[in-house]
Amino acid sequence: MVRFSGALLAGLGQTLVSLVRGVGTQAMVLAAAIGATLRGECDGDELKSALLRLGLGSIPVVVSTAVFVGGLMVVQSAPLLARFGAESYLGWGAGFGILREVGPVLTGLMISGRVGSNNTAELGTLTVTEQVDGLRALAIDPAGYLLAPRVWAIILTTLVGTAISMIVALLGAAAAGLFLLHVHPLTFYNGLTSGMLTWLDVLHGLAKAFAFGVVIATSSTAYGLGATGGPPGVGRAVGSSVVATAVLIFAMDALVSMTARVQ
Amino acid sequence: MISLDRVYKSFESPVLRGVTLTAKAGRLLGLVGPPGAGKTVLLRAIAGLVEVDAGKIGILGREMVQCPPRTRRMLQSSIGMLFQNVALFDFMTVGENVAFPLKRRGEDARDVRERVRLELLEVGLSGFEDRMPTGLSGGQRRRVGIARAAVTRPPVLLYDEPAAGLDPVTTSRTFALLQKQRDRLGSTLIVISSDIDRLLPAADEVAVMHQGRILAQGTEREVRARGDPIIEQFLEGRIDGPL
Repeated sequence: MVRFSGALLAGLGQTLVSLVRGVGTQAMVLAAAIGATLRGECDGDELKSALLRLGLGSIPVVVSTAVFVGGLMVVQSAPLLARFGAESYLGWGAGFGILREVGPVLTGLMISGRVGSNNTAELGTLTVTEQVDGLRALAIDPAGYLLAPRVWAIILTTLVGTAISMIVALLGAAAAGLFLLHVHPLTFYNGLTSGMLTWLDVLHGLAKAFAFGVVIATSSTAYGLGATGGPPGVGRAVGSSVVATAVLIFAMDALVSMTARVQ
Repeated sequence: MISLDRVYKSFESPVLRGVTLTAKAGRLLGLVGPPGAGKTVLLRAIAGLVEVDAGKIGILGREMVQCPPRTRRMLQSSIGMLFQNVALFDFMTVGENVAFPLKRRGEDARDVRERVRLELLEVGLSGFEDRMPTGLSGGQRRRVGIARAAVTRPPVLLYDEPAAGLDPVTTSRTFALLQKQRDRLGSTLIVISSDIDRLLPAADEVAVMHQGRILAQGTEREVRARGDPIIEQFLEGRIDGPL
């Protein structure tokens, strides 16, 4: 029993240490990206390429997820709203959930799965095949050429993706409301803009999106650049990155939600 | 000139144990030794890719160890390096790989094209500009790496196993190319190679490394004349001996 408790404590301690170390590494990645950008060393061509590759490519995934998310919000709440004859609150209910919680979190998780893992795999491959050292040997600072463009592209992708996801999810919710509850889209719109939802709710969601973007960008970059041990090491880095990012997304979600509540 | 003075580096265990070495300007220094001797780490330290624990590394009269990032980048821009596993950028074509160092220096696009063409011609890969590195053989990738290292005509060239995996004819051509680079560009070359039979005739000097130390440096004759049993066994490839 004592031995089991000791092992458990040691395991918890190790997890805590690796978490602190991981957050520290992510802070260093962010600082390096900011530093390179302030020095004017963020590579414009790489930023454009990253935005096209990571950003544009994510839109179909984000849109298709958002349609279903919006619809599911209505499917789940429809029986309750119908029982109390509160169909006119459908816009408010769906909007509240989508703008403040479901939109940013699901978009963050989708972008983490698609863009974050891709970023870790690419940087991991560049690292284990010495291509990052190849850049340094050519007197090219990887912070300006690799880090900063990817970090900004992922943050921007998460922000814009979340905004698109919010709009599409609301449209999906309105469509589901029409077909399942026979709530007219105008009634849905009136519920949405009745005054119980404000721009602060949109900002709340976008603040979360920004925080998730920072987490996805720094976590996936840090794990990629820390990959060791050839292709298996890249695989391990991708797995660790996806898990750590998901945990951090929920932690940031709680943090932003509680901060907003206090204010 | 490149000079190293009592350079130390440890990872889990000591890798470099007080390396003192001099590569004279415009000469080709062959760096040889058994596997695990610390040759690659030494080359990476000279290139500023490994931060050493102690000692001095002078490149062209400037100190590389613990220098400001700007000085380090300035020194690195005077070095061309071929990595042991070549480290070509897989997301670029062969032509883009060779052109990359020139483009980063803001050279004129027409000049870049011409320099790339000439450099690839020099390594026997004329017409390979649009091929992707993943479609090349190991030897071809290595020759692209040599072209990329030398395309800026740097005063210092560091080659880690430039002839690994090449057939005897291509190996001889590669060493002839390195000698040509030394003569044409006046560059200082440090070359690690396991192919001692071809490296020694091409090198002006040789340094033998063992367990993180330089056992001897000089011409081939001077090194052999030391009578060190480890050097003798290694250079002659004998099975029996202290190694």
